[in-house]
Amino acid sequence: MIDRLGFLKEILNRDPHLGKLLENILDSFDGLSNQLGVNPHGKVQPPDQLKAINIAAGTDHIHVTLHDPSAGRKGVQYIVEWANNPAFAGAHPEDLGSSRERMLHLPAKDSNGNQLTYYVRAFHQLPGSDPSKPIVFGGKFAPTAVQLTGNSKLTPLASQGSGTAPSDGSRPGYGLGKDIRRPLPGPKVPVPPRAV
Amino acid sequence: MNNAFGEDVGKIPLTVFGGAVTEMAPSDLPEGASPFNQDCDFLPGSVFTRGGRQSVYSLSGSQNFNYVKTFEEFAGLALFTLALDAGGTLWQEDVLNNPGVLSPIFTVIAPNTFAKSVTFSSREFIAFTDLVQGTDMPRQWDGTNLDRISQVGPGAAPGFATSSSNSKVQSIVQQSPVLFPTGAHDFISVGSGPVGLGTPFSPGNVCTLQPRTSFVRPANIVPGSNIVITGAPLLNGFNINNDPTGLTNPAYWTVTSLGPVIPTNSTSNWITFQVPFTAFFSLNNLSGINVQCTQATLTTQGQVPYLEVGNQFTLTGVTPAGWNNVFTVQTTPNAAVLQVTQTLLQNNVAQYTYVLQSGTQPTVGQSINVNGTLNGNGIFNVRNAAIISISANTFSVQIVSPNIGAAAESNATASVYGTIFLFDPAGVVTPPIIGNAGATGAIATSGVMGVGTRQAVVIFKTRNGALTPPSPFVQFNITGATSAITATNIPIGPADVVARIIAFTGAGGANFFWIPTPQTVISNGQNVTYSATIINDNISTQATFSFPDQLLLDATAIDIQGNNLFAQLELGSCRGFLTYADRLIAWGVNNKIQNLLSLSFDGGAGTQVDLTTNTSRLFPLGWTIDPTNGAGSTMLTSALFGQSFYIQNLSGVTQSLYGMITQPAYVNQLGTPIVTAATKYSCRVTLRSPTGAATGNLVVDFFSPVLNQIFGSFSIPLSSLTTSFQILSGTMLTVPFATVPKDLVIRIYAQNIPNLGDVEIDRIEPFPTLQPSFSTQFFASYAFNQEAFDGVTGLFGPAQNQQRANGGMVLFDTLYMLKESSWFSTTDNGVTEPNQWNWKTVSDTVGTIGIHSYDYGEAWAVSACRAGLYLFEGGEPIKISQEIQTVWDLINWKVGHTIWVRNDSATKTIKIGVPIPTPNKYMPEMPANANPTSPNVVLSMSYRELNTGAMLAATAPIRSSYSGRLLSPEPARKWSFWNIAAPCGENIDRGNNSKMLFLGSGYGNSKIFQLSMTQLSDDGSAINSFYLTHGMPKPEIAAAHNVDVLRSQFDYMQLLVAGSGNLQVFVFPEDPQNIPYTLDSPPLSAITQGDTEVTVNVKGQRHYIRVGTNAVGSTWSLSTIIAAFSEDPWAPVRGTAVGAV
Repeated sequence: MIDRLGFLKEILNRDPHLGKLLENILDSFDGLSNQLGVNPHGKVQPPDQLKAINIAAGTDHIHVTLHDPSAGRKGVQYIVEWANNPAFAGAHPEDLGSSRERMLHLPAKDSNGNQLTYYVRAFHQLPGSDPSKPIVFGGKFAPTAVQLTGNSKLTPLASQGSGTAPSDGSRPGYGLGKDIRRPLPGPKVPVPPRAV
Repeated sequence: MNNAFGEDVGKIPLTVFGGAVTEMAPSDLPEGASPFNQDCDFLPGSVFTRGGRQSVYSLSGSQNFNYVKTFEEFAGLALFTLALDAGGTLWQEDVLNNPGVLSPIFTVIAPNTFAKSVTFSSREFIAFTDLVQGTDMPRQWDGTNLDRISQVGPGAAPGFATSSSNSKVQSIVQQSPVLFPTGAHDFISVGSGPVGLGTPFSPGNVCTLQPRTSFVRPANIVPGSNIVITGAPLLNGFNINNDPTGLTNPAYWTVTSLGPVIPTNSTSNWITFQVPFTAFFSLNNLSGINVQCTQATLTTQGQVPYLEVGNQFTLTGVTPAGWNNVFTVQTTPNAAVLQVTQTLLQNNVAQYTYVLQSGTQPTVGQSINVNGTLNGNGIFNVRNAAIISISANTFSVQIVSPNIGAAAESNATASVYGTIFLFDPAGVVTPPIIGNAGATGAIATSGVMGVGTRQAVVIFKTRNGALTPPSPFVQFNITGATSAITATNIPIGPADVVARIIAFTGAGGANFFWIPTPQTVISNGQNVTYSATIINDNISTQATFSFPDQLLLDATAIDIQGNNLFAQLELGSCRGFLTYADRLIAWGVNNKIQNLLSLSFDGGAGTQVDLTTNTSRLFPLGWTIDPTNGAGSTMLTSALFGQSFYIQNLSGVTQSLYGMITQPAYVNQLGTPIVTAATKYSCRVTLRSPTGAATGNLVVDFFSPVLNQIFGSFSIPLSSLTTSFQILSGTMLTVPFATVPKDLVIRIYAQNIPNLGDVEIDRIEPFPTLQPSFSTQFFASYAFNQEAFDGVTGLFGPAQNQQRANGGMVLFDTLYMLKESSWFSTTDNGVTEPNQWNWKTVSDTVGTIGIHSYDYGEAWAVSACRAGLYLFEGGEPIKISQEIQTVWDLINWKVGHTIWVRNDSATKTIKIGVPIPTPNKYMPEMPANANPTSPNVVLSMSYRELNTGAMLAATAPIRSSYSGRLLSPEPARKWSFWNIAAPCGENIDRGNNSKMLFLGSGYGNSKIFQLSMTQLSDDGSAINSFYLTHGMPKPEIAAAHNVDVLRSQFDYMQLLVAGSGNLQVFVFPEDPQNIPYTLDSPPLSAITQGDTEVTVNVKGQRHYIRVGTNAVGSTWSLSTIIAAFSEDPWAPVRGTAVGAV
């Protein structure tokens, strides 16, 4: 690791003005990183798991509230995902931003009139962190199915995911993303690499 | 006349003995500089014989040593020296426990190989190279195994079948109704809640059964349970009886809360549920009211594997018929989860010591699953094995195997599937009270696993913890009845494989996951253990898995950035390794077609009957035995690594095409091109002929069966092979495809192989002819995953030029790439893989010439390139060898890649092994070697008292005084040229907190040398060590000492010199190239007895004094010369136009 303090001290001895300027710039970087919830050299620790997720179901909408008593940090974003299967395959993300609640409008039935069952989970994420571990309404291995009592009909389209997760909804739980960049979609086995 | 006295005699002292400065004419050198010197070392104020070469080990042989390196394990608790001789034997010395003894650890490295390695995580990662390109496969040494670094994955996927679990129904029982007590204090109330003695506080829709007298609440009632109430009268006009049809009232109530005794009210065991009306009353003394729990207990005649809490099952054929439906298991009372703490196998009986974690004790005859044991290479992991005996804390099953000793288990579990299942028909069937059932009907699992299409692959896990690339995938369908997936024909890997991993996609999903350890989760308050998807052995070929997708999709993904096994490549031979950001980084990696299967035949073996011999034989998975010409092949354990493909003709006659195997070469399973158009291909083949076939060929070709055409082939005459493996390469496809035939296959076969002829192939590596290696790039592993090389995100390097990357170093937390004559830097950004790190240019002109031509100091580095030796402190590289540029230019740069550079921080010496033709102007007495191809001279630069990189860079041996006159300062960089032939040099840890420079012998005597000041010979030969002064006297010095600046007479000199043997003293008049005057050879003593006096009596303008020794047992150390000069008494000027000595 670069001995930042040691280097600064050396520069301060040699050129006090330059040293103070660098010291100020480095402090500014630290402050900026704190403000933005990022780490210029890597990732920030993900937030602790949310403590509770509560849902009230109505006719054609549900009210989701999240309980997050942990020490908060500015810039944290809350994300709710719902799916029609308890494994949350192809889950649909809803970015709550800084809010810890959202009224979600969901169809009670699919386009053919079949009752839809919803499973809901939530997590949160800082801009520079991975998502926190999701909390599932009812528990991970016994998720509570939510059904709406109304008559609205719609078969949801396939999820498109969020952030830097693949744009086919195949990686739910990514929130803003775990990778800083998303590669172009390609086959699992890459084309043989070419020497440059 | 010798006259050292008198007013006319100037006595000129010389106390500065600088290093060689060859760039200047000798006559121009300032006082203290040396035109050249040989085999000298320096201290401030003195020059002396360098340490002699001393053999460290006692090996007999005739090899050179091309590599020596310290290998430190376990934070220094184990310390080894590794060495590689040119014959291909890798040696090891146990420095702490058996120093001075080299023992062979592997004897079949490709001959004439060098190595560049790095220690990382208590393993040595070694690149084998001829210094220009990778040669043999890269390997890792952990003190026990010398394994390949990364390897191919399984060549074929297992087969997968789904199964459902079923049994016969023994009984289904619902609890009997319980009569609500009748009494003055036994209330039924409706209001806002249960508070108050039968008196709700406010109106509401909460009905409370609130008895005070003794009331046995129906068993198993918990919040969320369902109950049915019958027999209640209308209460204030309201009906709380359930309607079995569910029409006028719900068919059941769902309990919302239960209560103990309410303080001050003596009321206990109350039950609340919501009713569809709002009221405000309480009534007591009610009679005839029954409360019945709807929950049912299903008892099956046998265990139902994989039916766990939360799983669904289907009942059929049960009477009453209302049970014939799909229900969900709420609890499994007699299923058990056990922690296995020890395993033992004796007389084909495996005994497990366990601790019951949940459920009931297992019983004899029950089937049991065991996961996560490690003893016996995982043989104790069984599925549905019948328990044959039980004791207090052990159970036993039958396993046919040799005895295996007892071993503790730390992460093993066992699960016993139940025969009793509690479930609730309420909400599924109406009415929910169905009536008890006897032994009628059957149960089958339903929806235990997520329904839909899945894919699966298999992965090898090696003893080093590495995961290989996955096999091709298999797709199959999970139906509602599926309770488990059984994998069959699971490939068995080579000997270093310790486990196989099955990765699955979720139902209907596209991403692969695997479960590393058995997972125990709490479901409905009960522990449920799901199996891992790893088979902890390399033996079994079948395994069964059952898991919910919630668990799978939360397990380890294998196709994400940073852990994409599908993009992982088997690392080719390479030129070197370094570590940075917890990654292993290789450079100069050989290229090959990566999406052909099992090119090294390490992807597992299949079995097929050889139709000609009617015997079973092995074939490499991923390849297909040609039905016509495929006879005569099998697989062997390779002497190099893993397995090999072997063709032997035992047919009795010569075979024109024999042992043929093929695999598609057009596209792979995912449609990714394999062989591409407009590309020429060549092939490397590692092979041998164990019996030495005299005729025939081994052929690798591209062939189209439809067109019946060979498009290109690489043919190797078997007569050119030996019984040892060798790596041969040649062109394979010289005319590129315009369009690749869709049926193109790559074939391997023997051609015209004689009877009893054979050939063994360890690996083939077809590669694009014009791109044989990733010569300009680094290839990084994933972080903390040293064998995982991602062919997309791991290849990285600056795009500025096409120079070869010759090396890499880490300084200031920055990764540097050193090319031939350029230098770049990058840093880990902490969030992306290396291909997205940014490169910056350090220098466009300075780089490094070879893989060993750079080294580190304290916060600086030095690098040798064509232009010179450069010091790097983080800014612009600074040249520190200008003073010997004329020597530098003499180096045989055709083999400049053989140069090595080593810095010894303890003695503050930089040593550079160089190939340089000798003798030459500056090394006139070195052995004749007109065209050295390996370092035959060591350029030694002493920088004592130069305590920083900046001082080293700034303190040249020549500098200008304030008056402009040149001076040779002290301290300064001091060069000497050492007569040592050493293909390699390395600072080796000797385990006593010191490092010694070890030099691989270049004398063909299987020795490794260290330099010792007490060794007064070079391994028994004389060290011809001498120092040559500048031309004395310099005119300005002469003038200052009252010596005529014209022609002078060198009368006499005194030397402060110590040593042993006899000092050889010469004076070279006018120029070091002239024939010297040989002076007396005074004896040397170890402790000076006063200056040694030597008569000279030589006339001239300048006199170069040479002192030294050249005999076994001799050494010298010189710190002062006082030279006495006077005016030439006969001819101060000679009056000639041309000088003559």
